[in-house]
Parts: sequence; structure tokens; C-alpha cells
Amino acid sequence: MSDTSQVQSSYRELKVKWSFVFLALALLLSLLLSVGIGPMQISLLDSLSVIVAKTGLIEMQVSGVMENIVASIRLPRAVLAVFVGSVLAVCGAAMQGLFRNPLADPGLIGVTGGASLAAVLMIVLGGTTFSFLFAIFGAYTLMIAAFVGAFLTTMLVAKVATTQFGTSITSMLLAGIAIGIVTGAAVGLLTFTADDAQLRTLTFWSMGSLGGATWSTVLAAGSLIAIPLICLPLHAKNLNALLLGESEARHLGINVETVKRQIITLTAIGVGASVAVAGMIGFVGLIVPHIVRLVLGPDHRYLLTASAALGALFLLVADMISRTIIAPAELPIGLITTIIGGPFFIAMVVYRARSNSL
Amino acid sequence: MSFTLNDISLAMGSKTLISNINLSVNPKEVLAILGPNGAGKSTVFKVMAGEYRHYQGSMSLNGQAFGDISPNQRAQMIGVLPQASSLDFAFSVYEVVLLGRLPHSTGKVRDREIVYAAMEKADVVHLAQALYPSLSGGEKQRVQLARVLCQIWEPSLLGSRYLLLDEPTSALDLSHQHHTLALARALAGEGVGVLSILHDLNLAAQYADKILLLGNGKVINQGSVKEILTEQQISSLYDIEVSVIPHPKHDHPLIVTS
Repeated sequence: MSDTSQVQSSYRELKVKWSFVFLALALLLSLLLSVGIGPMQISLLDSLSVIVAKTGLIEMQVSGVMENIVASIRLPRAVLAVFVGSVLAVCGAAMQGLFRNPLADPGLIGVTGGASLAAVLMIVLGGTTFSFLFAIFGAYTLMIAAFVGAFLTTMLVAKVATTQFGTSITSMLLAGIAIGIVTGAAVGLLTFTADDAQLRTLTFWSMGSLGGATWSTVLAAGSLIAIPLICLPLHAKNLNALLLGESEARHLGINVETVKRQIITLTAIGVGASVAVAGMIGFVGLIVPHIVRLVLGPDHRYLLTASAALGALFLLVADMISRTIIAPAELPIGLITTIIGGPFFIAMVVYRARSNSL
Repeated sequence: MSFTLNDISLAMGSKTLISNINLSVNPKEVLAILGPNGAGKSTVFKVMAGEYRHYQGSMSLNGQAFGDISPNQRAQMIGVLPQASSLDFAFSVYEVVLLGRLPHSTGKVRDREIVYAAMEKADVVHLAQALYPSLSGGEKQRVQLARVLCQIWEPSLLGSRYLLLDEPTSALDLSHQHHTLALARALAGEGVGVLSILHDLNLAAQYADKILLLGNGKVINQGSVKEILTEQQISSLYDIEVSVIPHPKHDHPLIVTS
């Protein structure tokens, strides 16, 4: 008995270990690839040497043009993809654990919509009505606004969908649809008052883009995104217990109300920051945790970290596609994730409807 | 040292669910709560499990006020088996049972030992690597039982342990019904105080030390099995004719509907 269990559990540990090794290598490789791909092709080795030289570990001679392209254009963009991809995936995984349903994606339940409405308000009215906010928060204004929007919509959705019998995913998705439509309409309304420059920002941004990445945006967004990336995995055991049910988690000694509030706040920070900096990039939080669960199981101790890595990888690859597929023009990255994610979501719904677990 | 309810009342909106409940679960004892549907059994249960906090009256756990004990410490003393748990994420049975060790920090090796011992007790060892959502209702119930056993497996330094069971036999076949209650009985032998909601009067007669009858949110009567399970009390509470006869083999009453 314990022999077979020993074997089986070490088999799983092995699988977890190799998955992490694979993810780390793939991530590194695609980071270098991503830096190398573009109008000026740079080889993997050259990308590596620029990065190494930049970090100052080793003294090295690199060409000035190459250094410029890598260090000030492509690398911040790739790093931003890593941040946004990992935080969207981790937030998706955490929300699904919290609401005990794998369909609870921040985009689908309206959280992204709420964040984007708040951010659009800032973009359009930031110069006039809300200029005092920019005076106070500076570069963080958009992110803070998006966080507040994300937080309020999460609370609203949770409120709508939670009865004394628990959280209903059906009401949650329906509330999400409604919020999506309303925020979409409100954003549409705001576009009428926007000037040309704002309009360009809005269109580009509503389809998601990493195009605006500079080191200062990366630093601002990254400092916020790091909070949920570090803190959500600390809730792994709580999330595992919550999968059993809220009452069961309470019986296991978990302070459910506090944990819920913390997780909702953390995901709102993550979603808010990523929406503010990269616009609407849908489905990452749905697809990535789902794939990880298929391979490693639902245990949040592995799920959250592995989702972060796979999410980063996913967005790096999607960004490479977005930059190359219609080069020299650029396809918004949100379109690519949605084109992949939409059918994926439908497949999940079909599967769950068939197995009676919707 | 016991788990005591003093004058507990609870209302939802304007509706009184339970009123003036007095009861005490003592170590080494099995207390069965019986009563018709809607009598307030689950409400009493949920108050004791810490789920409803807006009750009136007072509760004490091992001499300490219930509300003063941190959730984690409470979880080290009280194991709760709910009626049904819906878990549709693909945890293995082993992983589900392991969740019972969350309140403790005894280390990986010890936890694994306890998980296997608890799975053995609940007769689910052969399912250890099976995925929880694929199990039958009865198997799920036994896995949850193993999880709760694993939670209160070792004596706690904080005080006596209690096991709260909400209709633990509802999804089980005949042999596992007896298996589960015999297990609860054996735990009582080790010093655990057991409280169980039951519907089957004969199971209560066989396994309980004490019985508490609930009707309309009030305690109708409580006492030893023989004092409580009488034709007159059962007939009036459930509104059905019964005969209570001595069990042919054991020293406890047998209830048959007539």
C-alpha cells in the first residue's frame, strides 16, 4: 500500500519538477526569441550578450544600434508581456479557486470591463475633470483607477452571484455579460467626447497592446503586478480548502471572509494594473490555468506558480505573433488571445454541459 | 471539559429557527440528535460548527467561550462532516483527505501516515489515487469522513476533541452505515465527543449513548437511549404509530413501525 503510494506520489512530484524545468527553459528561450524578432533580426546569442552586457555582469562589446533596439524597445516590451501574462493567469487561477468554478475568468465575469471603464474615464477626462487625480498619483493614476474599477466590479459580481446557498457561476457569468455590455456602452459614449489622439489610444488599447512599453511603464506596472504575483501563491493552501466549500474551509480553521477579501483585492490589483498598462487582453486567465490543471491537477501549491510561468510564456508567444504576422503593421495582441481563447471557452462550456457540471 | 450550548436561540429574519437549546457533548460519549424534518437539527449543527454567528445564548468549548477561540484552534478540536460536499475539481482522494491536516503543522511524513491510517479506517485506501469527482456518492461521503478523521486524528493539547456528523449515513449502503457509526463509537472510546444527526432511530438506538429529541426548534427531551426511545415519545414527535421492542441480540430497543 504505502509502496505504491510512494511511487505514485513521487511520480507526481517528478512531473511537477519537470514541468517547472520545462517552463523555465521555454520562458527563457522565448524571451530571447522575442527580443530577437523584428524588422532587425537579432540572433539568440546576440540578444543574450546584449542583456548580459546591460546587466553589467560581464564587460562586453555590443553594437550600439543593436543595444538600443534590444534594451530600450524590445526588452521592456518582452518584460511587460511576462508581467501581464503571468499576473492575468495567476489572477484567473485564484478567482477560479475562490469561486470554485474553472469558468470564472476576470474577463468573462466583467472585472476587466470595470477596470477598462475606469481607465478610459481617466484617458478621456484626465486632462479636464480628473486632472487633479493625475496631479496626485502621477504615472500611477491609470493603474489606480483601473484597480478601483476592477475591485468594485468584483465586489458587485460576487454580491450578485452569492446567495446563502453559495456562489452561482451562472449568475456570475450573466452579471459579467451585463457588466461587459454596460461598460462597453459607457466606453463607447466616452469615445464621442474623445479627441483624435485619445481615440487612437482607446481603439488600440481596447483590443489590447503591449506596444506602449517603456522601462518607466514596466517599472510602474511591474511594481504593482508584483504584489499579487508574490501574495496570491501564499494563499495556495487556503484556496485548496476553499475548493471543498466555504463551510468546509471554515471548519478547517480558515478565516474565510478575510481570505476572500484579500484574494479579491489582490486580483483587482493585478487585473487593474495589467488593464491600465496593456488594455483588454482576454482569456489568458481562462486558458492557462485550465491547461495547468489538466497536467498537474488542481492543487494551488503548483497551479499558481505554474500558471504564472505558462501565462508569461503564452503572452510572449502571442506578442511575437502579433508583431510578425502582418509585419510591418502590428495586430493587437488582445485579438490574438481572443481568437485562441474564444473557441477554447466554447469547448470548455460544451464539455462541462455534457458532463452536467456547468 | 465538554462542548456546551446554553440557551441557544437563532432567528433568520422574523422566523425563529431554534429556541433555548441546551445541550452538552461530552468526551467518550455519542450524542444523537433526532427529530422530524424542519425540527432545527441542521441549525443546531451549523451553530456548533461555527457557521452561524448571530445566535443568542452562549457556547463553550472545553470551558472556554466559543467565540474567543481562534478558527484555527477550533479546527484542531472540532471535526465537522457536512451532509454533502460538492467538489468538482479533480483532486485525488489522497489530496482531499490530506486537506484535513491543514489546521496542523505536523510535517509531511507524519501527515502522510495519518492520511493513510484515516483512509484505512474509512475504507477508502483502495481509492487513494482515484479522482474525487469520479466517485459515487457513498464513496465521496467516506472520503470526506476520512478527511475529518484525519483532522482530529491525534489528541490535541488544546483540549478534548469533538466530531460533528450531519447525517453521516445518508449516502451509505447498509454495511458502510454500520461501519461509519462503529467508527464514531470507537473514536468516542478514545476520548472524542461525538454528536451526530441521524434519521434512522435504530442506528441511534444501537450506537448512541444519549439522545436528544428536537421538535419545532425546541428540545423535546434528552437522556439515555432507553429513556428517550419510547413508543409514546416517538409516536407523538413523528406522528406515526410505532412499537418499541427489545432487540433480540443486544441490550437496546428496536423500533418498528406498526
